[in-house]
Amino acid sequence: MKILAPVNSVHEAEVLVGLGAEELYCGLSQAAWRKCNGEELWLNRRGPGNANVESLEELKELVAVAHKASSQVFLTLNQPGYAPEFYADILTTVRQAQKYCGVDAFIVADPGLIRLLKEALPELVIHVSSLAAVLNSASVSFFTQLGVKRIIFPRYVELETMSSIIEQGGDDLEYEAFILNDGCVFEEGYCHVSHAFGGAFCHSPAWTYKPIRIKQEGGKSESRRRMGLLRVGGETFGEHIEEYKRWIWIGIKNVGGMTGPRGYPLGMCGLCALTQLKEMGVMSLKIVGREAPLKKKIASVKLVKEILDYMELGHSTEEVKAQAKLIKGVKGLCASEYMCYYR
Amino acid sequence: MEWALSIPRGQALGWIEEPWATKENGAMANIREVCEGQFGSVKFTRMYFGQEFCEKALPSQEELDKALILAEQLGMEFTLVTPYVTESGLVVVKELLKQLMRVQPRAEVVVNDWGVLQTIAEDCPTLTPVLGRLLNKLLREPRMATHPNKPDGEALERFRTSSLAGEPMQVLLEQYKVRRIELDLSPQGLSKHLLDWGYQSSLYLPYGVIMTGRICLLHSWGLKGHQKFKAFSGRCDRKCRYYWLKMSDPSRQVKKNKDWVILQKGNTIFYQENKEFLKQGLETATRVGVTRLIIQREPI
Repeated sequence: MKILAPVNSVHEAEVLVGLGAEELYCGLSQAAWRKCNGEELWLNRRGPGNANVESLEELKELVAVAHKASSQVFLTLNQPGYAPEFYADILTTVRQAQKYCGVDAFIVADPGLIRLLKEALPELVIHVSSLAAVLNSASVSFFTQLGVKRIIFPRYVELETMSSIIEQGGDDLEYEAFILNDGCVFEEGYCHVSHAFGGAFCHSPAWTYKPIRIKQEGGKSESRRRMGLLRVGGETFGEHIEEYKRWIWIGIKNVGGMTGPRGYPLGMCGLCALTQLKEMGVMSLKIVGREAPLKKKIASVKLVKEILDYMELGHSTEEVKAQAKLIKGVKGLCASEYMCYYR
Repeated sequence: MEWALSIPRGQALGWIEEPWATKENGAMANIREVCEGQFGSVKFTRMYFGQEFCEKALPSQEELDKALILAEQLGMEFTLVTPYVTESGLVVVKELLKQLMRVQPRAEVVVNDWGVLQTIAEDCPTLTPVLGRLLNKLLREPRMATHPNKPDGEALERFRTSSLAGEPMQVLLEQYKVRRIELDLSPQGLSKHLLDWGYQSSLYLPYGVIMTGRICLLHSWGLKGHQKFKAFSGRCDRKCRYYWLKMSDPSRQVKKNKDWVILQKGNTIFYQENKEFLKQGLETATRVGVTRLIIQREPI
């Protein structure tokens, strides 16, 4: 199994391949694109700044560093869809990234763009982004017919489901799963807003929720009890929302960016599922967070590498789980399961 | 204009007798006033049965039977609406599709998952797929309207255009026999070039979809800690049937807007379009060539 790490610079690539990342992924945000299309229309799901490499020259250098260490580099073009006016520019960028920079594969979600790219460049290697929301085996068939090489499973796909999909998808495809950092409240592929307009719509605002009872078919009488006091399973709605915010804080906001006692990042994690992921045929483990500071990326790669090496020594599923929890060092948070991609 | 009435579940089949709900339902009264103001008396000629958002809320085969019989009795065309699905949901959808194909081989199916589209092509080729609004990746971004760098002119038009307008997707969808696509009345407005995209198009009213996911806020209510906020987990007691959640943001990152109200139902956040926004949107929809309006009392 390979560790897939996010990078945004040549320096980060040097550091992370040195720590054992055999695959890197990055975005590209060239000044010319921004000048032409504005700051709100992004080439990928993360905006200019920390999440992207800024030029083809830098990308070329980054790829050279990775290749020297026998690592590969993938470029994200992962918007769920692009207005067709952009296709020509994107195709030019892809040609340059492939031919001039040596990028190994492209992460794409838009079936139209995949079709366009494969028609123009049949040898191009395409990984289906998690933004395409491949949740079932028939969806794998759909994208296989478009000529893709790898399926990137969205977050929170149950292990049993993933295993069934891989079994039906076959060995010709590669499979990638999320392993560390940054949850999403909703299905990213069915999220119709953009962080360009003020960050994460689902959890950045201080949302309050007022329940409104719906009159039922047949005109049953409505409850006049105050919703905040209405209990389901002994829990009031107010208590439930407090717990929801706690889950968001732990799993989505990564416990406010804090680290555990050994300096490893907190937040979403799939390390307890490593042996099952390996057994079912997942070959790439995705660390999320292109815009994260290098310190966090280093800690993330080290953490995954440490547990991966432990597993490769032949330890059992239970031993790997115990080791992962031990190393993270936050027993209570692990027990909540709010940091688990796979539970 | 073709009028379709959305019936998201078997228990709601009675809505067919009272499509606009009761007088005290303000949202539906508004939409009726706007629709009839523009088009005159509305006659629903198509039933949209099912919903787009949750595999746990897929209808049973018995419910599908009842819906088909009712539609036939009333002389209505029939469309089965399907959500995005995991492997277990796909099994249920496949059964529903086979059942539908036996009864109405050429019936329409709204697909919101590429895998369901693939399944229709492979297993049920006589059915007529319609590309659902969740596979139409236009932004529905409520913050766009109030953002300091609010796009305008050419930039705005780009936000109105989706990959469906491009030749690669047109050819791909033609291979899958998709000739109709679905839309929301997005905050940035509809593309004035919609007809050039080459499809027939349908518009949902009065709820636009902002985001949806497999982790359901309402389903988790009352569950024990480790069971909460899990994706599509366990049996569902369908609390989404009983509650809307009205959302507001005291931090004002998402500002109040006269054009819509933001609501969550089950696993999905919607914006409910207000009267004036609906009115202007309908005028535009007619102008740009929308040929079907789908009225939703409740989307789930």
